[in-house]
Amino acid sequence: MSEQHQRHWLDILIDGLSTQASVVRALALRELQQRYGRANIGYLWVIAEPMMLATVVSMLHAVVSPHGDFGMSPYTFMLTGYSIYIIFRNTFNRAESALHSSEALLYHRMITPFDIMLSKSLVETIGCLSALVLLQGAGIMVGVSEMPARPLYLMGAICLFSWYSFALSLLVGAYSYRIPLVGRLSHPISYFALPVSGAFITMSVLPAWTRPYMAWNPMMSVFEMARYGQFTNASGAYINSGYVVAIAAFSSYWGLLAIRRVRKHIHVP
Amino acid sequence: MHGVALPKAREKGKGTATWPGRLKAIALANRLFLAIVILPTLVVALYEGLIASDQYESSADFVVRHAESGSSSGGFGQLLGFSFGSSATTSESYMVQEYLLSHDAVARLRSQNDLVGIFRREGTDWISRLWSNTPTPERLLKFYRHQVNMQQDDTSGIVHLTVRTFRPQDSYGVARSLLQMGEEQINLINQRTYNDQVANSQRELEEASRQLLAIQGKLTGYRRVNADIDPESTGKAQVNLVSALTANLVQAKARLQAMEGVVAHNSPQYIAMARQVQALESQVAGQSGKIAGPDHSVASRLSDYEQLVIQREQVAKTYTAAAAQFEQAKAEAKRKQLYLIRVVNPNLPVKSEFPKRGETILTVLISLFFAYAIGWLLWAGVKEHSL
Repeated sequence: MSEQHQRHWLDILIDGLSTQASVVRALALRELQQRYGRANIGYLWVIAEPMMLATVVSMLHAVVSPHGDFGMSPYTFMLTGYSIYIIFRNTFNRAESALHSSEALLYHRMITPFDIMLSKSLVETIGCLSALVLLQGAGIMVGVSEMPARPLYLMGAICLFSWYSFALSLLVGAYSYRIPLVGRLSHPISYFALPVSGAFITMSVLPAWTRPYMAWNPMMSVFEMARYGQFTNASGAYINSGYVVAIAAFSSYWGLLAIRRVRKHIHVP
Repeated sequence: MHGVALPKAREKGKGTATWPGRLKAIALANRLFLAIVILPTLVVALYEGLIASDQYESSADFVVRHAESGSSSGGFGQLLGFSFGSSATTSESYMVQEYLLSHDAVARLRSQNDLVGIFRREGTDWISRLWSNTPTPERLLKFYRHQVNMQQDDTSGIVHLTVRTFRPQDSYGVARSLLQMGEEQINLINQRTYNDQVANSQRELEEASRQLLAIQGKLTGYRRVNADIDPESTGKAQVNLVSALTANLVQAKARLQAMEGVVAHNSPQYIAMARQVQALESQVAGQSGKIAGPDHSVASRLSDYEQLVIQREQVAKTYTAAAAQFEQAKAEAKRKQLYLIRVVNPNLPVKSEFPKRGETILTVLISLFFAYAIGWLLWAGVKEHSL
């Protein structure tokens, strides 16, 4: 009897998860279609876009400081910084219009605003990740880059950062649906966040007095972690993953609440 | 269900309500994921858990220092208030690191510590051990660089050396020999810089001293030939003699004049006086001729002598300068001496910490997952296009 009951409970979980997975997968494909269509290279733009940006910025810095600042190769330094940062920028910027553009889909009962946000976030993350892997691979082949020294840290940083970005995108998505001002502000915020994010600087080059303040910035910690993962001689002293996890968890919780509440305000035509 | 279209998988699962059937259905639906991500991870986990042999790591810290460190150069970074953490000893410390990871060091360890034997101990698994019994130096070097690691902390300049082998004693032994070899290399560099720095000024000093000896020899020869220790003082004595004689002559002349009207010219007293005046006159003429006469006089000898003296003074000055420079160069070279300071001596490991099994498995899992995600994105796009 109790076994029957337990099975029932597991049934629900597995069913729910597989439905969720199918929905997210389908939404991700739709996202690809919607954004890039089928013209020329189509969906490949999701990789090509960050790749072009990262290449240009990396090359620029490779020319400006060819000897590599801080004992790290400039190409790899910019690449890890930028291609991870655009996970945040794209997720964060697209969150503003996410619900408006996919409103009609909410007619289907199993599609929730959460699924929409998750699929968009996943597409961005995987796209930027592909760009990073491809460019890193090309860099290694050409000889301007090397394999990550501690891959686990680099991958952990990417996962953590995409979670953090997703949590923030939930918030932005939920609030900008009802308050357009939030949407307007999200673009400038993503620009302002760039210089202080740590994408192009490390904690060790900052003046000592700024470090305690910068430590409050969860992105800084994530980028320190990514650097520590990528470079042999990077310092792992400023990694504070517990703090980032706490911030991301809190934002996720808040975001989930907000996105659940917003559902009531969405009027499906 | 309220007229909602359900995904296919769920409808399929409905028919087989039994657990094995359900699991099979799930596995079949995700077979690609299982094949690409889960299966390789399982293989790696099995290898790491059952086969991979333990490795022991011995670590040591050392730092390469000048005897006296100068002020570090201020660069662009300092201008901006950035601390790039450059220290004057960085390049020397890289020198040691480079040496310890070179084929030179490997060749030495191979003959000295039996490096090949260390990397092929009994009972180690064949994936992580050195494969060949007689490896080429290049192969051994590659394996060695995999097992021996050096990492420099940029701010403190301390180099962290780690050695990983299959036996605790081996790791300890190799780490110790490496530190010793580093010290020997530093000493060699010291010897070389000392020699280079000091040799030049030493050569100059020797040249000056040779010149000084030559001029001294000339001077001695001159003295011997002229039988005169110091023509200058001889000349002075001569002048004194002449002036004394002249004074006497003047006195004698005055007395003779005083006698003129009083004493008869043929009186013995007068004649004696006149003779004295005469003798003095001839003496004065003779002696003053010796001072500045036409040949072999004091004046002509003095000019030769003074030339030699001036030459000697010049050479002596050169010699003093060269000697000072030599001392300075020696001090400088001493100041530039390098030392390898052992901050932490190698330890004898007790517990095996390598390979890091959990870390490796997790790395494989996540990277395969990433690869799968990227592949999925690409494949999904391709499929969409083919519609």
